[in-house]
Amino acid sequence: METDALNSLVTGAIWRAEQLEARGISSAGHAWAEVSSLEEELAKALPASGPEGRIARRGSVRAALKAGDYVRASALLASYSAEEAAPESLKAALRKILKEEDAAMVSRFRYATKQHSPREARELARRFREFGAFCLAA
Amino acid sequence: MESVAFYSYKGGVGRSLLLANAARFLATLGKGVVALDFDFEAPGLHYKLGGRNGSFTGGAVPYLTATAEGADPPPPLEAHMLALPVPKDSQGWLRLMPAGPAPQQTYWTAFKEFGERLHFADPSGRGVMALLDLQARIADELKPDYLLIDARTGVTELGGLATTLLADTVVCMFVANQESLDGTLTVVEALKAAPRLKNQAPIRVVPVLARAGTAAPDDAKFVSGIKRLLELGEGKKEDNEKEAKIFALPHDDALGATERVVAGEQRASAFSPLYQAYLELFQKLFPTGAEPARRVLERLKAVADIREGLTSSRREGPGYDELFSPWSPSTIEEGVLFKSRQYRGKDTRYADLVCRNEAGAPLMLAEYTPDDGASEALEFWANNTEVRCVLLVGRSQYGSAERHIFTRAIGQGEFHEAKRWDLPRPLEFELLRDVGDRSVESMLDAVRHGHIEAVAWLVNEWRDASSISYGPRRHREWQPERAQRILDGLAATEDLRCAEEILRRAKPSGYDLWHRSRHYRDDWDFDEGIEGRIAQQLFAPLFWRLPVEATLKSMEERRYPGEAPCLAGYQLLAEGLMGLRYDPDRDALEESRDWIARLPADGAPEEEGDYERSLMWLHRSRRDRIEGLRLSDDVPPALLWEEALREDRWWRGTLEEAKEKFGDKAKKVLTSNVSLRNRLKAAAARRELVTQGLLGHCESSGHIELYVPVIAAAAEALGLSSRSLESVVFIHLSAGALAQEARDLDGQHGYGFQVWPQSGPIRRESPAHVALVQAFTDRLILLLKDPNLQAAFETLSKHQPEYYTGWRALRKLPLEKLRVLLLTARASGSALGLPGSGDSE
Repeated sequence: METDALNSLVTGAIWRAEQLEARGISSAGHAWAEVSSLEEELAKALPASGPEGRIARRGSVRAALKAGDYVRASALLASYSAEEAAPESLKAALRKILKEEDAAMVSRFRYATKQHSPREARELARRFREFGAFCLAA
Repeated sequence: MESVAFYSYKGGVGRSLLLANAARFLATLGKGVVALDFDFEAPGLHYKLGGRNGSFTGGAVPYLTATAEGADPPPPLEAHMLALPVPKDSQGWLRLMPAGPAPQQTYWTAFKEFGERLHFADPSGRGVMALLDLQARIADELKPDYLLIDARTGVTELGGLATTLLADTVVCMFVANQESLDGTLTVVEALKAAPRLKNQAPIRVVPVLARAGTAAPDDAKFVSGIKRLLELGEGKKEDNEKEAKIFALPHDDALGATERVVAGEQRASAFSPLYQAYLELFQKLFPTGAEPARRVLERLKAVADIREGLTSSRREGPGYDELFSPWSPSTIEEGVLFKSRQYRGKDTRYADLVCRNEAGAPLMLAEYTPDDGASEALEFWANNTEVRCVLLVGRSQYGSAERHIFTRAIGQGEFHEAKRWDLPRPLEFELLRDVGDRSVESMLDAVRHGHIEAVAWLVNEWRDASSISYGPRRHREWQPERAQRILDGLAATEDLRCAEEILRRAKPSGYDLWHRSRHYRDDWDFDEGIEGRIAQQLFAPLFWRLPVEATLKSMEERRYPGEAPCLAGYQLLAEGLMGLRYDPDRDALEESRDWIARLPADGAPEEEGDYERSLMWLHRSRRDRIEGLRLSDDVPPALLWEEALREDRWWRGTLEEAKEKFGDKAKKVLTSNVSLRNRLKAAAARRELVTQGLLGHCESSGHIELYVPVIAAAAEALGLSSRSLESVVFIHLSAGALAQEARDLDGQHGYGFQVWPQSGPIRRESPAHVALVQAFTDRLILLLKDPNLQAAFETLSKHQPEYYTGWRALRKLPLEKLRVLLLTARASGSALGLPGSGDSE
């Protein structure tokens, strides 16, 4: 698919996700997941060295986080950081996005994070997601 | 803060009720408790714990939704919690975070949005964090000792997180069926293997069998499932048992139906097997509360035991129901705080039970004092209440409950320990001045004051103390002196109702005997001979010693149609002293047989009705004989004759004619106390106070009449008690009647014995016969050992004709000699056994 078409789709998806989010509609998460996928597609089409490629990569990670999919965001970060053409500034920017997310978690759950790290919580959530309640499917 | 989750694989096991009880219990112990209702699909903890009002809109669902939306600052906890009341004297507190304002529509709307916005397994970790944050915030801001979580039933996301993520301890409830057990076992296995956060200890699991009946399934699969549960979790272990047992909460219809929270209740009426099981479980669940739980359990058990003892009937012996009727539950108040009349450092004191009389005044109280505080307690109760009995329930050196009963008499200040173990009953407070003193004297005093209810106790005590109930298997000692004291005390009864009751109770009957044999079971041999001994040793003396009115009533009373009255009194005189046989039943039967035998051969009953008529005749004849005693206010014949001769010195006529002609005048004398007393005084001075014809009258048929007004006036004239004089006259006339009526060994009546052969103005009493009757009267009074009767008899005879005092000379004779004299006196032509001469007709 041409990048122009992808850009159009991303623009529309971002607008839609923002609208849903602003109205508190629960499918906003899915909309952001869609944005993340489209940005990922754009990132595939655009080199990391170019400004559009960097924007797409940052957008993909940020949208994944907006979608509440920290695992995907982490995976994208790892993937983009591993690209040879990825400049250090991009890698730092991507790491910063995830740090900001952690900081937001700490700020939102200030009582819990005194004792438990967001990473731990995410790991537990992953296991519950994977193995079901009581991890009975493990 | 320790977090305890209450989980059940299947619903309807009483999970929320257990949590509510645990919360209340901990708060009562002074702990800070937060209860969380995480059963979002079916919230109901607020129904058990209460405290919610209509305007409340908070709860876990709105709170978590706000948190998930990133509300900054986070919503205030207080807006989502309810502060629940706890006992005033408790230092604890209890807050509930309900699921939300369920069952209002707003809750279900909020719950729907909550489901859309917050996913607990969200990979961002926000769902997990939201729960952890709530828990951490509660710990941080409220600082409770315990967080109790009502987890969702079954295998659900929230149920899984509430147990594996938040709980330190999980209570897993199940019921006694394989389905419930299998599901629980699966979850418990999962809980033990579930991932935990770094600083969390392994989950502690306590399986609890709910709605336990008398018998759980005993098939191998179920038993091995329970065993596996106990391997994974913790059970109840008694000191003397090697293996732990599963905690079981018994099924309780009442509590199950009302879902009433009983924990924290100090009132004994709240105690039940389920409450006991709760407390045993709490000892395990909350180690810091184990000792208080043990103490609460001990207290409740002890006080409940006392309450049970106070309100339940017990059988002490026949006829005890009234005296020992239990306290009505409505008269027992629980948990009453008494205020001191004077401030002495401690201004109130708690009574576990207070028993009140009908007017509401406290009579007795019970206090649980496990520590050595008896003297302090007694001082308080003595100085600040009017109660007459204090039960102090404590702990023995062996750890079991023991009670001490302290009592004081009405108007007394200090309490003293009573020598009784059984709990005083309400009636005892009316009967006795001091309920701790249930001695013979106290009970007799109660009878003297007209308390009829004490009679049964005394009669039973007499049975126990007398030789009647003395045997190899009886535990009570033979106490003849005690038995005699009871007998003398009963015999002194003046109150007519009590006297009647005494004779009623003393009357031997198969019914009472049957009850006694049931009551004493092994240590009481059913002995028919005992009935005769009771009659002889108890009833017969009382028959003669108690007021004649009571005796008369006892002869009339029928507990069932056709019941014959007890003739032991007459038999004591006739058989025990006179050597004759007195058995009207047997006599009537023999007479009936004779009568039938005398019918001509062709006159034998042709129809059944004839035979029945003969039986009726038999019955009537018996009744006539037995009921031949009357207390009369008629004019005595002697008085009538005297009046006739006063009017007309030469008057001649029958008694009936005299009655017709001079009856009214004589009646006037009788009804005028002064003239009657003067007449009798004059008669006494002349030694003319004859028994027959003046004080009483005995007809040839054996029917006896006592002229009550005359006896009363004579008693007054002689300075005697009317009651004693009545008894003496009754004995004298009875002895005369029996001398004629009773049969000798040959079955013959004493036809020759006629003390009073004729009635007319010139009395022709047989001096020898009268002397004999007086002799037997004297012998009976001696046997009865009644000083009042003795005095009345001796005083009366001093004012009677000379031959009435013959008993003095005859007293020297052996009884056997006296009997020979009687037999001789009874002999006559018709009693010599000549053919055809024994016909009574």
